[in-house]
Amino acid sequence: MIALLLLVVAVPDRIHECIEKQDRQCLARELRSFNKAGSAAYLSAAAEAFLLLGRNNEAVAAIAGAVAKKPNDYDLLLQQGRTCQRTGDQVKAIESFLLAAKLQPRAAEIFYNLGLSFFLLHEYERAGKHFKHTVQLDAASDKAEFMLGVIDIMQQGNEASAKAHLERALALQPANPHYLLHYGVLLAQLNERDEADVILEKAVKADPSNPLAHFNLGRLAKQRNDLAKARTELEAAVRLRPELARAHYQLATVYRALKEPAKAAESVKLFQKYQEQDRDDEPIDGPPAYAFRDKPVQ
Amino acid sequence: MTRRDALAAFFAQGVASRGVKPTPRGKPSGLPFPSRLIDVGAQAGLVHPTLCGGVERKDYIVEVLGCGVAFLDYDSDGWLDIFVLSGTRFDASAEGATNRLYRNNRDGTFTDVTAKAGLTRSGWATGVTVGDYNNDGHEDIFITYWGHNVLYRNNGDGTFTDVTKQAGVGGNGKDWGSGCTWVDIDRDGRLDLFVSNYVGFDLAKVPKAGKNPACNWKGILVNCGPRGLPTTRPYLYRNNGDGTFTDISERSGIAAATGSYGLTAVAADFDGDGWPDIYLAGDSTPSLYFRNQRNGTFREEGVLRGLALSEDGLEQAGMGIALGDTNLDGRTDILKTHFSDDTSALYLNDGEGNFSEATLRSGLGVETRYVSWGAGIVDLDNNGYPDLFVVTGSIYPEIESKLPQYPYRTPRLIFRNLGDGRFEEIIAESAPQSSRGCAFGDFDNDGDVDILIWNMNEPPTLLRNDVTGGGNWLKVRLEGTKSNRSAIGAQVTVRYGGKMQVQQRVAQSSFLSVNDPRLHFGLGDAATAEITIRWPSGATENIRPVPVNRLLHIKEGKGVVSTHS
Repeated sequence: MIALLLLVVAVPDRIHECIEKQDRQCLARELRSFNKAGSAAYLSAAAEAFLLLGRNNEAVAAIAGAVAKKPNDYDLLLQQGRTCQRTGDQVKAIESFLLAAKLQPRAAEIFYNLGLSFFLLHEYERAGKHFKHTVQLDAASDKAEFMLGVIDIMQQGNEASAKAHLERALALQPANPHYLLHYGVLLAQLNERDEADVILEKAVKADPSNPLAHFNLGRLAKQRNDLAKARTELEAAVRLRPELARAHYQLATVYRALKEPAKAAESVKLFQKYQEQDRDDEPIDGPPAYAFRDKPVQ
Repeated sequence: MTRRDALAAFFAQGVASRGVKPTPRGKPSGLPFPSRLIDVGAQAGLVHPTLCGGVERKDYIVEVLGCGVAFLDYDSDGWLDIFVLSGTRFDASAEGATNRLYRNNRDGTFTDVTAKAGLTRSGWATGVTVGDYNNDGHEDIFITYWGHNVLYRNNGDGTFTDVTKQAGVGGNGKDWGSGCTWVDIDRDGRLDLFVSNYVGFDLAKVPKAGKNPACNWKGILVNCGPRGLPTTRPYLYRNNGDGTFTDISERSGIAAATGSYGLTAVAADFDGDGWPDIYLAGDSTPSLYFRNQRNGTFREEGVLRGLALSEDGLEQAGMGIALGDTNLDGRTDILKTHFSDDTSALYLNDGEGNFSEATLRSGLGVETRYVSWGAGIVDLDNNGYPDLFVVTGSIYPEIESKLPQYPYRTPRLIFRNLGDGRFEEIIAESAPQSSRGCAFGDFDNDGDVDILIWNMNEPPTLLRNDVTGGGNWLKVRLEGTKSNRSAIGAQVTVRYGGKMQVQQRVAQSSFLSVNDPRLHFGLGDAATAEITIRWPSGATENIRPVPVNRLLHIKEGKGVVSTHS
């Protein structure tokens, strides 16, 4: 009996170990004998593993099984909500978050996630309310401040408010490259170009692999006719993301100004090649992965 | 959420053509601007409203676009006459709507001679180009329509004859003709004709405003288009020299340029090779630059030359185009106007037809509030530096009551040239209107540039320019002999007071409009000027230094044949 108990306890731990290692083979091996009648802890670990493997339906089923066993478990409800959120069922996610909120009405995390799900449903006003509530519950929630800034950016005309939110997010996480990038681009849009330049330099330093930081830095350099810097940054942007059409277009203008017509023509060709991928009416699946992160990328 | 929304919100690639914020206004220069523009339209007799769709609301995009206007000398008396296009309406209130020709009485007033001239015509007129296509010494008129386009031959006796059918330039009657320009593409001395189309518009298929939730602006349901409506293609007609034209759209390569909502068309030599190219403003689509290959064909090089898209590679709502030498380097620069939440764009020419955008560093970024249409690069105060003039106007009358921050009638803008590559914005004193086309010319022959403006469902505005204490000037009237008689395509370089300025004689610019055929140069305090003309035939002619403040009539190969001061 004791041995059986140890085995039951050990399985979730082994799954967690695989998750820690990001070892997909290990996860697949552990889930080969998936037991849907397992304990809530086991099903919770399995749900996380399924999600990592991209087996979304099984992840949703596993966490639902766990919640069925412990319907008043805050952590399980939170996990269920986030699983549904990541797999695209925002309505179910919101249901789970609301149940969790009843159990812990002052948990900022829940309201952040409620905001995110409403955001993904394009209900920005309701999303904004939840992000604001998150900040009321946890003044140190940089994620909520950031999302409030994003909503303000989307609602053109709210730039001053967006700026304030992004500044608060950055005060909490000064080196977050996403926050720096958004703040820098916002400053550029507000024509505060010197300040934008400083912030975007920081964004590049914080994450040199982000093509958009290089692109926006290059764009600013081009605007002030610093062609050498514009070239360096824009070339870095297309090296990191060859399909970044607008960077090719900018590069073409830089090459033209530098009297390098062959390179300009080549950039134009690449712009035209990738331009179709950036059409106005092309729908997207959802926001980039970093919007889901529990902790900001350092 | 669209990809672009997401990019703006998350990836933040920079939104150049939408949501552009104005740059801060610098400290005012404090320099005097001795040009006063006074609306004398009513006292001049321009009293007929130019109709175009509903007044309070616009159900279809065809009611929105408006029309062009023209300064022309149809009776060759040396005084500019006025031609104003008109749209119509879908209800009976359009009775009496017609294009109108106003003859200059040479005393500051005009007489409506439309009926006498045989130009009465109702319909959805859009663009106009003026040129002497049959080289008989009289300016002819071509008009684009939603429907069949129309060519009027000037009979030389104050009347016109509709020769569309025999000329073969009426189009298919289904397209919505927009930009049009006379252009001698092969330098044979005969004016050919370029015609662009805006959208494929079928009243039976386009939902009325309010019927399609996707057709909204700032959340308010409005008329649909241009996005979502089919694009068409431009046409090129070769002048056969016998009153007929041949459609050479296919073999010239022009027809291959599909996928653009074309508006204003300007033909000029942008790359300095002596052959006319064509630049076509694209609304919400790339603007097109057709480079003349000197063999009867064109190659579209808008993106390659930096003229197609915003500096971020985004489509803009290209409306009007003005040409001029803003930085006095002897090269033809371009000003292109756009929608609100965007700037007008200034493109500087490197002399070889490659353009770099100088919008922000020239100071044009301060203004993003208005939908901008007709425009000119003209020296309003004769100080020797060409200024910029832009007319504006919203396209949605129904918005204003719900969103007062987006008024329907908006002001005229002047960007005075500070002479150092920068411009300073001045709001013109005249009353705000919802304007579209405008034309520049000296209607009272007093040596400065006046402005004619088309207003939506209102009479036109005629801004008389009263320059006080301004600089000297020179006006050049060209007459081709080997070249087409209108000298369309000629390039004139004037050297004055250590400066050099180039202008080209074009047959359409601004917004679907036609300027004074005489080129006007402000000269500052220069007392003499030297002139070099490159004729459309390719011949070059130098005129020895001439005294200023006069009109020179220059005939190809014969020099100055008369002067008027």
